Amino acid sequence: MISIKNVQASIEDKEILRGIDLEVNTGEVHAIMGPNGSGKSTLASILAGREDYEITSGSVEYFGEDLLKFDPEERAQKGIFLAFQYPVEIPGVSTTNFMKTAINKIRESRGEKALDAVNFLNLMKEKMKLVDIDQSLLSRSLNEGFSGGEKKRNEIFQMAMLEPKLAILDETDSGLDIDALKIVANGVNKLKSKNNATIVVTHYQRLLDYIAPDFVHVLYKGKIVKSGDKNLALELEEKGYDWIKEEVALV
Amino acid sequence: MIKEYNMLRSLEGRVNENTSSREAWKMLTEIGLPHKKSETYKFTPIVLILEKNIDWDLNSKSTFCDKKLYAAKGSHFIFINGVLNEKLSQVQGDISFAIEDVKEGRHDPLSLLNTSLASNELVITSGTESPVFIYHFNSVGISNPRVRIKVKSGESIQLIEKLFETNENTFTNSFIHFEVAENAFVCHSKVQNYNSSTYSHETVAANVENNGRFYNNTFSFEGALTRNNLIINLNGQNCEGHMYGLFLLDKKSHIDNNTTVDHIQPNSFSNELYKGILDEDSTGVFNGKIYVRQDAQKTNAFQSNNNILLSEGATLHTKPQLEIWADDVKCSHGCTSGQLDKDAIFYLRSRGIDYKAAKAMLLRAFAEETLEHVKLETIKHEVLDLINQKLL
Amino acid sequence: MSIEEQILEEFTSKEYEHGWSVDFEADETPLGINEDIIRFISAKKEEPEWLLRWRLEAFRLWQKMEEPKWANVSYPMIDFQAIKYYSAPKQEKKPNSLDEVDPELLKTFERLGISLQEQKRLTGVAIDAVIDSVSVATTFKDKLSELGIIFCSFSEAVQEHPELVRKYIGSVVPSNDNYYAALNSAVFSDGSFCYIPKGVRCPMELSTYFRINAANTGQFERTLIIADEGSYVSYLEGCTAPMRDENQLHAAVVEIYAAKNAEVKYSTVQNWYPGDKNGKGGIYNFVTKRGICVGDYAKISWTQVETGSAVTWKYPSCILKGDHSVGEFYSVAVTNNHQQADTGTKMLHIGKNTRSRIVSKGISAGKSQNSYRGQVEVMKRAENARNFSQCDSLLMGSLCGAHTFPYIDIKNKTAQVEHEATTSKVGEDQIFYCQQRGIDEENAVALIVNGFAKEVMNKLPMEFAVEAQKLLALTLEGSVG
Repeated sequence: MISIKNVQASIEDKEILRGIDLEVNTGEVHAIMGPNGSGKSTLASILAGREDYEITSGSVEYFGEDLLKFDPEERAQKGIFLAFQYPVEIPGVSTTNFMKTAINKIRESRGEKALDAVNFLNLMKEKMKLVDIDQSLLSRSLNEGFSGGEKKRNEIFQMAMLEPKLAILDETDSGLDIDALKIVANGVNKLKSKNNATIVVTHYQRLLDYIAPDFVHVLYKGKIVKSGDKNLALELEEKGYDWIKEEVALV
Repeated sequence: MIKEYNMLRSLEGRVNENTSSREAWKMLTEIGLPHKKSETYKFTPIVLILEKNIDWDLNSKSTFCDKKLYAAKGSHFIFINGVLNEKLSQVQGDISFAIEDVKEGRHDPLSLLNTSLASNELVITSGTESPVFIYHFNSVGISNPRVRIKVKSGESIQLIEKLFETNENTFTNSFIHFEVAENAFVCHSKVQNYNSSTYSHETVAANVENNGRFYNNTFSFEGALTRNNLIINLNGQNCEGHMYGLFLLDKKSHIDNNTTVDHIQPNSFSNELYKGILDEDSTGVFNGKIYVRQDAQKTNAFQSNNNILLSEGATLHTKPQLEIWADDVKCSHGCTSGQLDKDAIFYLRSRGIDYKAAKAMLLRAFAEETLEHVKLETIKHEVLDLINQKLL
Repeated sequence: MSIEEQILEEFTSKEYEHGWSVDFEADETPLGINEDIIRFISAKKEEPEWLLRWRLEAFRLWQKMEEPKWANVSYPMIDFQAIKYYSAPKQEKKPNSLDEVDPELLKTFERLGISLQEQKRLTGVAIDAVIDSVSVATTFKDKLSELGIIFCSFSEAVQEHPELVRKYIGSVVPSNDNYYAALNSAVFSDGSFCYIPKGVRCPMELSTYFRINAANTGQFERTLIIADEGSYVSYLEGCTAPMRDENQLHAAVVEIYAAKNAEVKYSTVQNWYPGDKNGKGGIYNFVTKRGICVGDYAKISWTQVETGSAVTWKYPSCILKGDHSVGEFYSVAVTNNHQQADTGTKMLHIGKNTRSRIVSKGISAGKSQNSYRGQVEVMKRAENARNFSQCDSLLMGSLCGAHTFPYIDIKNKTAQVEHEATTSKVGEDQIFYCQQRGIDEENAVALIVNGFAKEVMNKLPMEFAVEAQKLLALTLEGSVG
């Protein structure tokens, strides 16, 4: 599905990613872990197409196409979804209105007809249940005045609405209490299928208790320094990141 | 025919010989004093008021009262009728000063008037010793004190200014200019508790360079007419300008606070909070301007003016202005006017506090917020005492 | 180019779409103004003697007045002798019904998307159409008159209801009120007149549509709305002008009189030609709009969406004289390229328990300057007056300016006044967020701007909310398809 090869990226001449290689296939769940400042969020942002970063070398192939040449909205239309670490507030624009615009833009890009109000509302009702989100929240201005948990649930709700092929969850667990975490993870699991893939970017292991990853990668100083299965995450939880740092230092 | 020209004519004989003064006078006669329709003096028709109340030739044996001085350590500069009295002044530590000819100043009418009439300029250069006190004792028709404060790179100064009228119906037109070098810090505080016959126009201007910080605290309690012009130019990057003021007025006191902060370079910050409590027949005017120039991206500028009117006769005019030419900025202003919260009063009374005490308690809480940035205890106590005095 | 720059480029290069003009024969005065011109206009309209005298008096006042200079706008001196003060499409005789109106005229309005043929698109709306200086058609008149509602052109009102016109003209905006009001009082050519009798709720939106067509012509219309006790009316005004290289002057006066318990809602969608992207041409829009709540519990609500004009100078105001009366002002002002807008409101609290609310949203782009200027004044006897003001500015690009000048003057201690203002930009992260969900930049900006303006847009009558929203989006559009 997506194949990331030797991607290096910097922001304002500061090198952040120093050669990332990652292969994700449909049906897989990958977790990317690492200490603060290792470049996890940068990787997520680059895949979604944020312009603040300069990609100095490497390539990203997505279903056989060069992903990097597409605008952010084109990537979204091709099925990439980023659940933001800090979802943005847009005053005066309701989530409902926002989603309707987004869905229809995506449908338009696929040459499909726009959803009418009835079908849209039905779809919304169906997906709302998934993340246990309240109707009143969706008619309020997008993310404005939402609590941390509400914002994250809204992200997963949008993910459910847009049915992406590749979902990237950027620290979706941060700032969530255990109940909210369960709801969010439950939503993600229900959306999982053999036709889509998920990249979970996280600092802590606890989200992985609920979303079982097939692969775990450790990102440190802009490189994937270790890959393994679910057990690697558990090991990290137990020992922290210091042993990884030591290992890297030895190499 | 026109009052503002009459006033100029009657002061012409006092203009100094010095070139800057002459030039300033020439400019002033061209632009004239603020006339009736002048936007910046809309609610303070200064020429009319002065014409009516001030006798330019008023003169009396000046009385100086050293009991009014703060007993704190630090340097003291004493101005009598706008002229520095070196004998009475005392300098501590490495603060240095010089008496120089008046140099060009600002170009607004009252600043020009000061440049024309001030006999010389006291230039104080910062050292490591603070605070510095400046006292004015005025007993003549018009006094024109003029001070320049140079705060060198990385240094700081605490300046406290105070004015006493030792006669009746005097007018002071003061001008104090700060040069705040890189990384320098200034805190300038004024307590204006004048007589009901004191008229003053006080200009405070500051130029702040990279990483410089300038604080002004103005506490006003009484005065026939007090006009404060405060101008902060944030010339450098990462500068800060802070303006905090309280006006707690009664009788027929009239105060006009006119502040301007100009963000010229990127990454500067300004914060302004003025609070007004108006009782009896007093009038309060607040006019705050924030400019954010085209280059001043990433500016943060905040302004707030809150007022409480206590009596039938009180009047308030407030005009908080934002003028913004840069898009990546965070600016906001807010102002309110209201009465004391009736529910809060009731709550206090239901706990056994009488109405007067409850009212004073709430007003004091309202007023004290402006004191947060005053570090010097003597000033803090003086202002708190004055607040208590006025409210009880 | 960064995303933002691109969007700005597209946004600012958008063309005005009502910029065509139609040639029809016009009846007009020569350039310039003098007493003879005023006599000509008055005679042309077969006006009574008192109205001519009123005009001449205003003209004499005007000659002694000076053009106001305090607004935050700059434009070259206007040569008042280089303007035509009267231009009317020539019609053989006064049309008795729409069928007799020059089909060219009807077409003009059809092209604007305004059908004067009744029972067409806007069935719930009665329209008075004013082209250059005169009203050309008023729809639904008969239906309204059954309820005793008078809705007609100003000229017609002068003929048919002189007692009402004489009583109310200049009662809210006296002819010496300001420079442009005086000029309008001297030369006004037409406009709309509306009277809602006691206790009547006007069942449809009343609307005036203004269009400047002829070159070198000033448009000076006058609208007078009288809402008698307990009545209600919602009124909408729209306007466009052709693209011309020279500037054209529009100096209108709107007066609203609201008696006890009456409510008037006045909405404007202003889309005069703003000039080209280099600031050439465009309308000078110097308008005086004021309403008075004379009786207790009266309410006047102004809503405006201002997207056009090269220079705007406009402060729809409320005099809250009756006890418990209410004044509202909701405004969206968009400026682009070299447009300048100085707009806001004045709320004058005179009566007891009067309330006012101001919501102003300014959006500046290109090299434009957008100012909010407002005044809230609480007089001595206005016990328990309340005001809340919210002024927000949105900047797009670093060459434009946003300015806020609120004046608050309080002479009564029981007043409760609150003013808040903020300035922000369309955030890059907001745009990126929308893009990540599949929405392109242009639509993202439109979405964000409409969100910013929503509180005001919601106040527009349903029939026009959609139009106004489209207009905002259009202004932001540029490269669709």
